[in-house]
Amino acid sequence: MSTYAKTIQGHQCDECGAEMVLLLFCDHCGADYPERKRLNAFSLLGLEPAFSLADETIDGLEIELTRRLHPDKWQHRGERLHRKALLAQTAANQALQAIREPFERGDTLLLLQEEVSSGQLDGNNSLPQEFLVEQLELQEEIAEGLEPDRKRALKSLVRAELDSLRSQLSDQFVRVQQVETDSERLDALKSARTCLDRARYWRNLRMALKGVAAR
Amino acid sequence: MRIPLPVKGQTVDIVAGIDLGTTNTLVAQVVDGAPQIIADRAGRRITPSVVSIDQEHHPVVGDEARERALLNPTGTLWSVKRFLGRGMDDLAGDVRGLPYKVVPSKHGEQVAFRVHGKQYLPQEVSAMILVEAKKRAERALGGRLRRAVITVPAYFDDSQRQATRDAGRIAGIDVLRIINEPTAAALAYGLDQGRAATILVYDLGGGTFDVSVLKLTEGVFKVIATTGDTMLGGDDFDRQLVDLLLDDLDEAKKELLLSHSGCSTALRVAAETAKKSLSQEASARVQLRFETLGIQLDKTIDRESYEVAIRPLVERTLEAVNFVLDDADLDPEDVNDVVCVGGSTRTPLVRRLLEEHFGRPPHTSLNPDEVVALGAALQAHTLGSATGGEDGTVLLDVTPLSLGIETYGGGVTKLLWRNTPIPVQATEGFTTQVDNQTGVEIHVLQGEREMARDLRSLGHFKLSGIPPMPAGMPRVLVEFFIDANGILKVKAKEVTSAVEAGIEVKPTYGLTDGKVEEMILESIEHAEEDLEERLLADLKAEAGGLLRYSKSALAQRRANLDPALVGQVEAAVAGMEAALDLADKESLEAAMAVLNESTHPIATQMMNEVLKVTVTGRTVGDILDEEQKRS
Ligand SMILES: Nc1ncnc2c1ncn2[C@@H]1O[C@H](COP(=O)(O)OP(=O)(O)OP(=O)(O)O)[C@@H](O)[C@H]1O
Repeated sequence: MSTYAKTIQGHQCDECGAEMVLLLFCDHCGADYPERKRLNAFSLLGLEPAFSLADETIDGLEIELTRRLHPDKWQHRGERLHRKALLAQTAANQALQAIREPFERGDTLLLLQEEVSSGQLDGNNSLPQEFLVEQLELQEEIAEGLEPDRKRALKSLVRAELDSLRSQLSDQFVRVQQVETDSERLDALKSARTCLDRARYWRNLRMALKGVAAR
Repeated sequence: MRIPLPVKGQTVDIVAGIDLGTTNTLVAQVVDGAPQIIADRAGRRITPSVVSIDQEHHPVVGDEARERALLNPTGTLWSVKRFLGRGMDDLAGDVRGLPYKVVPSKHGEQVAFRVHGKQYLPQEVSAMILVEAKKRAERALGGRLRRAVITVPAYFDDSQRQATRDAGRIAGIDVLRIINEPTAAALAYGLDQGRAATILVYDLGGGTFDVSVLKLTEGVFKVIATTGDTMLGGDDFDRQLVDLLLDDLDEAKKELLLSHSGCSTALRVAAETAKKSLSQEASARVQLRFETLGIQLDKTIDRESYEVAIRPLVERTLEAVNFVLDDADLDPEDVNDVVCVGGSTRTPLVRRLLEEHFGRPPHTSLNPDEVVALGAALQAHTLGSATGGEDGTVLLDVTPLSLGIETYGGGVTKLLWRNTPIPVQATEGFTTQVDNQTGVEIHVLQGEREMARDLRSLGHFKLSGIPPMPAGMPRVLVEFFIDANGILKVKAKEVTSAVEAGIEVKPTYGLTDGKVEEMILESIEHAEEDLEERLLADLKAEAGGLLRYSKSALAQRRANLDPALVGQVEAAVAGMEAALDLADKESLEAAMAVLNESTHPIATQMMNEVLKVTVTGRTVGDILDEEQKRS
């Protein structure tokens, strides 16, 4: 049995009593899962909020949810269920998107920590001047066009920086779990915020290096 | 092949897959579990995506339209797909050198064609092609085609998908789903039957090149990356061959030949024919005599020198292959299947380089022109069946481009990133800039760049009726929703006042729903009449058009024609007039066949007048005949 079905096994629909296989809606009568509004991206997918999450887990969930929810599967189940499924898949896709990419996942996790941080994590003001200048120069260099060797070098630099930020981020999220006091926890969260802010710049560079605006 | 026979008083319901291509359109349906291209009565499997509109604004579609291009250059439209959902700005280079007029339309920023004083939108012209394809299928199978799956390139954006869907609606077709061409190709090869695979679809057509990577996992297909070049294809191979053909001529003669439109067309036709034989033979001989210009050509081109000439082009496609692999974080070894789509993948060099690149031969067993339609038919069958898609393969699509909203100062806030699986929804809050602002204009943009001016405009939405409040107070929530067809809907709402009304949707490059409705009514006014009556009415209209065309061709060309031919055409014209009086199906069809046959040499002769062409022993007439038979 897949992770997903396991986590919600045994939940009965309040309205029709059928076993609910989805945390989103009852695929028997179409009633919404009562707690749905309060679910975050992780819990909606039946996951514990955590930074470390295998790609395979996420891909597996995506496949399973798509197979169940894709509107094409519900064409003949009547207008109401068809629509419910469409909305449910939309919600599931949105949740998947929020946790798929590690840095996006970090952002999602930080949002869940609002209680501890209460607005003290608004980032972007803490990055040192030299870092910003360096980023700007790299952006300009890429925009002007690169020799293949330089491009390869830059690509591996970006990859290395992102790898390092990812592991720092992971450490900070482990710390959040382990420390005792709120102030220590806030400290770890702030470090995580900084990693994410830096990563945003490196990720922009990665996009620029891929020449994403091809079309 | 088993074709369901028409039963009197009971019509067969055809659920088809349609490949609405730049050059050709194909229709397929599933018969006994296997997809098959639907051929018309004359055995033609392909409808050229060409529409010729005469002075009376009567359209002719397909082979007949292509033949009329010579007599009606400003009214004969091709490559219409390039214009779907596009604006003048998008097309800058594409419009040059076209004999027909592309103009800004009366509907937003999108373009239209101006034919004999009337505007036609690309959606309408595409709908004409779809109607023709539909009629062919209906005539061949004696049923009704009401529902279909239509394919689009994976990189097609929202406006292009929407325009395709609208074309379907205008043609009176219920579009079950818009699916991506590469996905359809993979379905046609039955690659969805495996458990897991990474598939690269390489599509090299006449004018465009696309490459996509798909991932299959337990019955779910997902496009994970796609790219391409809308200015690279078999036409470029033709140009290389033309250069080779002209190699020995001096500059002055080259110039002369290329600047003469008839001669350059002839050269292109000869080059394309030579190109196709080079896919089979080791060499091709081309002999051309341009009598009016006093130039002669006799050249044998071997496959080697041809391959040297096109190699840089093929290598450019491999760069795109690498780009798309890189984008998907894959290496060539990770790809399990390579699928070839598009006529130009018949080129041996293309197949060879692909095999070298991936260390495995690409799939080529299906006809590369047909695989997309075949795959679409399979999906149409799944969606149209009684159980719907309950047990079929699921196609998980992604947004090909990021979507965002213009912010104060010309910036942009991205709401959805490219490659996000759809359906999906995103919401973002905005506020007002000045006190007592009661309306906000929301500008929806698409693309990867940072500034609004560099992005493509999808539409403007106006939210009005916000109660007067100090600047920064109102909370405007904008919600993007992309449905399973990749089509975007946007809603905006002011939270404090709950104002949601007053949203005006003005698609930049498309039609409002109301306008589409109007067009549908115009085009299928008679849809509910008896099928046979409708088919007869269509046939009569078509016969009338053919009659007018033949008469004017005859009037214009009489002096240059062989008297025997004139006699034949005149007899056929008389036969057609008689058949129109009788107005029954059999006589009309018979008379049309005779008339078509008899006017065919006129077009050929017009070509032959400008030049004498021989490609390995064939004349232009032979070539045109072969073309006709092939399609
Ligand atoms: N045997 C062959 N060898 C080489 N090229 C061929 C062969 N047969 C057809 N072609 C080329 O294939 C191209 C047409 O391909 P196709 O019909 O797939 O185009 P299309 O999909 O309509 O075009 P586009 O990709 O621009 O939308 C033409 O350039 C044609 O010359």
